[in-house]
Amino acid sequence: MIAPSIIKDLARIVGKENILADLKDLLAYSYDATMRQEMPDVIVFPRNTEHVSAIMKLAHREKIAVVPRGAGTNLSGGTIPVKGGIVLEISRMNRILEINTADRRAVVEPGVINLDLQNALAPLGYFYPPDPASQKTSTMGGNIGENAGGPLCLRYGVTSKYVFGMEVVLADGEVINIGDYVEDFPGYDLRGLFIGSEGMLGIATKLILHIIPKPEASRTMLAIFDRLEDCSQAVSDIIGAGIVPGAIELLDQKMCQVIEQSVKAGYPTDAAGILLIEVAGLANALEKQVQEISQFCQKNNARELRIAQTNAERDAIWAGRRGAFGSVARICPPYIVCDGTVPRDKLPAALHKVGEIAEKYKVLIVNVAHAGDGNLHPLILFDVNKPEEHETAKKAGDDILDACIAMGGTISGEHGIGLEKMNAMRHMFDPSDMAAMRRVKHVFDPDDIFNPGKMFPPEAEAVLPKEKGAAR
Amino acid sequence: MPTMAEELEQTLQLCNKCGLCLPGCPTYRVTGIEWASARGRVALLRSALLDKKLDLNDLNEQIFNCLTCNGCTEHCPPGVPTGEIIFRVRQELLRQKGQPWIQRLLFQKLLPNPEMLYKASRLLRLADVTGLRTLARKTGLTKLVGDAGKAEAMVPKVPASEGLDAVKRMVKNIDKPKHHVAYFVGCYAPSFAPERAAATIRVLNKNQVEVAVPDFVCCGLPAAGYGDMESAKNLARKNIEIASEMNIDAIVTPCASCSSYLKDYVKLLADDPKWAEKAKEFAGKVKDISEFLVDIGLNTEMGELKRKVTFHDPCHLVHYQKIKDQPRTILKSIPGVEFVEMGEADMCCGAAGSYAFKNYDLSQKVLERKMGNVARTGADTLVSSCPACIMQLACGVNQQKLPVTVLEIVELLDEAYRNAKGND
Ligand SMILES: Cc1cc2nc3c(=O)[nH]c(=O)nc-3n(C[C@H](O)[C@H](O)[C@H](O)COP(=O)(O)OP(=O)(O)OC[C@H]3O[C@@H](n4cnc5c(N)ncnc54)[C@H](O)[C@@H]3O)c2cc1C
Repeated sequence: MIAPSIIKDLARIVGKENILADLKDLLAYSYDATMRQEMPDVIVFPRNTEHVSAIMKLAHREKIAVVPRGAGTNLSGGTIPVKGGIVLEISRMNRILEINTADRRAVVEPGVINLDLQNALAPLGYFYPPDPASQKTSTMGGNIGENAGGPLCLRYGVTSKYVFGMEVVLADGEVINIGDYVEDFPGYDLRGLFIGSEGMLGIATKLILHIIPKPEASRTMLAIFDRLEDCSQAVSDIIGAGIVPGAIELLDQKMCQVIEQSVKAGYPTDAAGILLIEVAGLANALEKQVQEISQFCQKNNARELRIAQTNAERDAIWAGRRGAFGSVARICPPYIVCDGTVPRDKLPAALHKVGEIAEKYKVLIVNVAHAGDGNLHPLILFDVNKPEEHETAKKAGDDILDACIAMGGTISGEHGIGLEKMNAMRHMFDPSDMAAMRRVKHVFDPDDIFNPGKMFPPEAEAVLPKEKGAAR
Repeated sequence: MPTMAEELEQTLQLCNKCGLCLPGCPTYRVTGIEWASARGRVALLRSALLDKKLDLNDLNEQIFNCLTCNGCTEHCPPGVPTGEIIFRVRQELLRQKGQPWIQRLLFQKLLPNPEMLYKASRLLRLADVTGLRTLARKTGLTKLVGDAGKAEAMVPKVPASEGLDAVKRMVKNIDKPKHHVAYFVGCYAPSFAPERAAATIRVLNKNQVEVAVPDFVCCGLPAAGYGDMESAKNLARKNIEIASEMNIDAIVTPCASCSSYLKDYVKLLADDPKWAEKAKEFAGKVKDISEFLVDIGLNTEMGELKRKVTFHDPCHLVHYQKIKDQPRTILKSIPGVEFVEMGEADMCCGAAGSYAFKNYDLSQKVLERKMGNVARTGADTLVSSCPACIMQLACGVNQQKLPVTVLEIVELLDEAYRNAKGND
């Protein structure tokens, strides 16, 4: 609990109308998109950098925990205030400050919603490539906090590739600028530290983003396979041949069945797996790519290949993929999304392993994967009214992540560590790796007030990492 | 009898807190506050009803500032019906606290009786002509009544008409009618916009539809919106009875709220063995006017209209009845009309029935957002299909001094038919 005088001080900084501290307020900010819940002491809505800085000076002086929060859609417990304190909600800092197509940049406040930025760019013929499935809701600050990615990231790369620079408020309230308006600048490149730091090193208050022109044209196809191995081999062949599709998404049979129950995207329900492949670029270069991709699919025994001829057909192919999580939610609202990455050629083995784990724990697991970059999202279903099933599902999730690590992969493609994957960090990093990260945290936040209790497992319990795959 | 908590438990558990509803929730978009979103409202109701961490009465604001626009459910993967949950909870609060006298008067006395309703609207008219309105404003009387006072500017000027009887007199016999419908006029048009009722009848006639205007009473939605289900059911029974005595193909209304609620009679009377079947039959005949016109094949013999038009989707049309294409089909088939889609066309305008009167400030913020979207289209005509929306939108256009005319879709159609060759 923080003293009532602190709440008064906060109100003096941002104004009464930008503070919430009743029981109902605290409850409303006690959760995120995971199943966890912890109570904060107060919620503050800064309007500008000066507010954020003043709040941090106060928190620094009084040693109060501060949790930066965007839309609270993270899937890792990243905004759960485990140590109480201040939830610093950036949703009211939501202005697009500048769009400069000549310099290919957009300057935004962190509360801007990803899709709102896209909508502002579209009429100018530009876009911002990272496209998390939560883009209608999630904020740019949250995207940077988690280094978000999406289907387009195979071709374009994740958030970290699209941040030129940022204004950040540090734990003691100091305001710094990192990066610049250009790619190459003198001195340390601190952007890599802050992007994906899950609100533990500082609060971004302004972002300078890299925007790019929309490709002239795109082609979308759907390839259907009777064996998952063939599916994955086709992916490897396509990428191995130097083709860089805009996206390659893999969905397994159970996933297709679930999707067809609600979306009716026309996916087969009897095939082992399907690939959604999209290429984009100059119109006259695309035809050749489509042909090459078709050949690789045929070579790998694709039983059918559909190439969208109209926008409506393209939308139908994507509608199923976009509705994937939703379709699962419809039959089982609380599901666990695993997020692991393996080297591309290990994808079939990884999916096979997921099948074994499902068998072992007797849980239903359906798979979608950003196949192009080996990022798996097995979705584990369970009954919310049976706590023991939730536990079993969590165990299955841990096993899957361990399996990814054993294959030389990582435990997070894009959803962050937060609380959900804290323990898996031990399996990923040597104590010395982790100690180096903790030292970085200590430099920027010696009192551990920024989003405490996340990412690193408690030190006392640190154990040796499991056997790691040879590839790492 | 199960308690409300037991009744709602399963539904509340459906929410997996993914947050995809947030962009569809107008009150969240304009405040940025979690509990002003569907996810937040559901989470707090869960805390109150299931976890018993809160008293339901602490959530008055969250329960009553929901627009019940259903924009959230549209975006929600498991399809949590937050609007329905809110309705149910309002009902419970009403049961516990009783209804304020003014609502009792409105729902139980005025709305079941077209004549009384008409007389009440005459009082407003009287206030207009006698200058009492200005007096009230000057003396600060409007301030005393709080938010409802601020909303005073929204109450439309009452034209001199004579209520439903006047609408009945607009009915004409037509040659070789292909369809026979009962026109559900709704509460608004007879008192405040008789010219719109006239336009509706002319448009239907132009489509070879013969129109009858029976003595329907209020659809029941306002009462239900404030939790008075008994009044809503009584109104429903009365309407069903009236329709059952008529020989008609459809019950047509240009009011999206009415058509949506009339279709909902099925649910409303599901537990009433005497009425459940009749309610189904009744609801099966109800059609929104755009839905009906597109169904029967719109008569496109129209004259040219030089207008740049954008359309605001009423929540009761797009979210409640999933009617989105028909109004656009109609607008695009009017010669000369340039149709432009606005951003967030299906986001609530903040009217939500009488919401604007009770939550004035929030309603205004939602309206300002809507006006921004309208202005960005550069349209000169803003069309919608719900009297409450029209009233709210006209108010917004006035406040922002936009060079935009606000029209019901039937008014625009009427204009196009009047411009047709061979008409003078
Ligand atoms: C249905 C669904 C689908 C999803 N799909 C994807 C997907 O395809 N790809 C993907 O990558 N993720 C996905 N996610 C996860 C989530 O949406 C992303 O992690 C998103 O980036 C979080 O944004 P947010 O605004 O909700 O941030 P929050 O959840 O509020 O915060 C996320 C983290 O960022 C920190 N943070 C927030 N703002 C700031 C700031 N201004 N400065 C510093 N730190 C800050 C927080 O402290 C927290 O640690 C999905 C989630 C859901 C529910």
